[in-house]
Amino acid sequence: MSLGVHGVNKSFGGLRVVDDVSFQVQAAELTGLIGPNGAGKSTLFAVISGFQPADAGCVRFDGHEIQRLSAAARARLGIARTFQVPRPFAHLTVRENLLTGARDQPGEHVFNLLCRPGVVRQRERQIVARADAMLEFLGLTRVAGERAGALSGGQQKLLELGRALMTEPRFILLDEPYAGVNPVLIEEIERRIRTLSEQGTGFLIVEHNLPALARLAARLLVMDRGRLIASGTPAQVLADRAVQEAYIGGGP
Amino acid sequence: MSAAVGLNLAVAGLIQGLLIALAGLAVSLCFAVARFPNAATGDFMTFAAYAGVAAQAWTGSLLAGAASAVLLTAGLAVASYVLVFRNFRGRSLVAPLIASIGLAFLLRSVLTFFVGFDQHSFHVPIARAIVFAGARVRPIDLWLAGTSAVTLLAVLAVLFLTPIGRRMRAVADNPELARASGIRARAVMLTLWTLIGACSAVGGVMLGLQTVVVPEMGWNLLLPAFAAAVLGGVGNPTGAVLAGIALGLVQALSTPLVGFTYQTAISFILLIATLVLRPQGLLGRAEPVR
Amino acid sequence: MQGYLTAVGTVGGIYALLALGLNLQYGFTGLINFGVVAFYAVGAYTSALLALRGVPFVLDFAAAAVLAALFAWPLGVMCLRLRDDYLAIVTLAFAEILRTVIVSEEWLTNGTRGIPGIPRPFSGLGAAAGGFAYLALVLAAMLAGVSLTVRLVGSPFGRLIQAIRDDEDAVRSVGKSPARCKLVVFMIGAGLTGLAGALYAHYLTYISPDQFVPLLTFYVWIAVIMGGAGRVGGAIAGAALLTLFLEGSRFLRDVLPFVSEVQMASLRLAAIGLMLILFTLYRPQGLLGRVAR
Repeated sequence: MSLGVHGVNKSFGGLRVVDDVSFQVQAAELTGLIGPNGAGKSTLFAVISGFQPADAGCVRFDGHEIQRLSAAARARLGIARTFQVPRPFAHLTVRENLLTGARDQPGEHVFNLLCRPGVVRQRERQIVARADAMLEFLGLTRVAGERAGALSGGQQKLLELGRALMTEPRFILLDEPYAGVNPVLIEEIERRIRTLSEQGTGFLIVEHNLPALARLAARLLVMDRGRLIASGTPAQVLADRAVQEAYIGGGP
Repeated sequence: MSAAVGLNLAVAGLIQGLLIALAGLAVSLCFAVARFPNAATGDFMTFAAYAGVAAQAWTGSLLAGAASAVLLTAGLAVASYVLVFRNFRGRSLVAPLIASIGLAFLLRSVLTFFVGFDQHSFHVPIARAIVFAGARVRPIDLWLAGTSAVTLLAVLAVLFLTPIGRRMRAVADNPELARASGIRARAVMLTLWTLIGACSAVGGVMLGLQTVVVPEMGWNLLLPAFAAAVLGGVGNPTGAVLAGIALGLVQALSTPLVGFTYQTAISFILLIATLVLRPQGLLGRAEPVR
Repeated sequence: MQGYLTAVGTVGGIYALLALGLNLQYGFTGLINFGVVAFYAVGAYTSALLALRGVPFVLDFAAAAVLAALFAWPLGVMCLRLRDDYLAIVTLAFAEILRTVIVSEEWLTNGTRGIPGIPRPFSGLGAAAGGFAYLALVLAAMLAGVSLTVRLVGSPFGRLIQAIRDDEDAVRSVGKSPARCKLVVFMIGAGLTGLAGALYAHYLTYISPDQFVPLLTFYVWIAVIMGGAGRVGGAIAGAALLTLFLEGSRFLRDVLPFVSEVQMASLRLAAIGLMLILFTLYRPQGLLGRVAR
């Protein structure tokens, strides 16, 4: 299973933010996407997950072209994403945030609430059990009943990861999962990502914490000013001249 | 419909369109830069018309009356920004939208409390209509059209030809970027609200000159003004002006077909059609979804 | 006195039903419906016209709710995939247009002269008992509205609509489409509003276009905002406060002889306007709420 972009372009008001980017990511190969600020990484994420339409090019997932699908439809296909700045449902509790992520709850249709309450209750029990396991997995059990808006930034990052996982994704796009998270928690998240990856979930991760990402990723992609400038193993990429220049800001 | 009737309707439509354009421009400016549809725009216009009538009665001069109306309404708009809308920065557009409705009610009720519901009017010298190719044009209408057009062009000129206008458009395009690049928001916002006030004021005085001054006059123009702002593309002031003029013409020219009662329904139908077919507006660009 | 209290209770109950509808739309889902009065009018006219043609009361009320919800459907389909403020503009416009239609389509609505002689349920019981029975009917409808809200909000559907209110994009990111849920809520809310309209029409036994002015929409808004948007009890508390305010202003008029009836109307409008501004500025969570939104 793979996720790929082919010749993707995206401009905002004459500024080309993503410039003819093509790559393919295998689920078996945890991949990192790096680059200086403004390189177009988040925009590329938005294009892949369906939050921004590409001006040109296509997005393929598991052999199908998906660029015409809505963001919600892509999520249902199995592409989950998190946001650079966490976006929890601030007035819902932490547990409710996770429950909202679960798929196939017939109780999200009013018709089923009225006509098939038994089915709804049964599914709700399953989902609650899964959410509680997820809370355990993320170490958020203690705050399960609190409003998500009251959590710390790091906890919100975790919660968002959990909410994405509740959708039972086959592929996850993580936008800076370590930003604002304390080092202890980073190791925690890292371990969890590794477990999931070994279980077959695909990952594409944008992250500025290069050492942490290099530990995790089998492969790195590098973007600069909208273009893909390098790809390879972390060791290869970090030794690359062009990459170093992009980061140090050398060159015109 | 005979040519003369058609021409008469077109003239009436053009004037109506210029009025809608003024209101639409005020709405669109607020939409673009302050990012909410300002429902108080109509009552800014009403306020201006009353202020104009009062000032004319006091000074005896129509020009002085109109000028005071513009000054007072600009002041009112700036005050409403400083006292109310400024405090909503960083909150969803719902809050300023609801507050603008509140402001609209407050303005109107203060007017009706002190002045009552009777209709007032400007004193306009009576003059014979000019007949031109079968179309009858009152001299006052020529003045109305001329003044409205000049005002519209002047506001667009400020927007596109001056440094403060350029900064205003930068804020409209990308507020975060504009903030990051150190554009002083205060000067921009004060200018913005002055323009909104001035636009509404000229519109209100013109509307009052064309017909009579009543408390509901501005509110009744709000729907066409919103329609013009959406039709022209949200946050596209030039589009709002063109759409406003077009709306006035379409409304007037469709009168023989739909009757006078359903004139405003036309702007509603066009508004709906725009939202369904081209939500970014006729002249708008697709707005990026966050 | 008892008659007066019954009347106030009835009107208050109708406001509560209106507030419940708007609270579902705005408080829980974040929909900006500026056309409450339009759905109210649809309900009132539907029920009144059917009743005058001899249709039984139960069917009149049901038809009022259903038709109001059906009116909401096309508006919702068109606006709910767009920015939040488009629904506000379109519903505001819809209310204005609907009033024009009611005024000018005399064959159906009797125009500005209005519709007199709408039958009232329980009128056979005499003034006092009939009024009391009608109050009970209104309160029953209100309780039904409360129970509907409580059950909806506590369900997975309710969880989803509150998630939509908090962050639509995040809802999309977990594979759910906000537009569908928003449409359902918009229609349910409109249905409650339509039912309130029917109750109003049969209570007053006379309706005319000037009872359905935009101001009424914002009475309901201020009720929801005062009571606290997004809380079930908030709608009821807000409606009670609103009724208190409206009745209070009537008493005030009696003790302030130098203020004319017309001026009192202005003062009431001023108070509503000022409250809309002050609440959104300083207490968006309502009078009783704790958590800032």
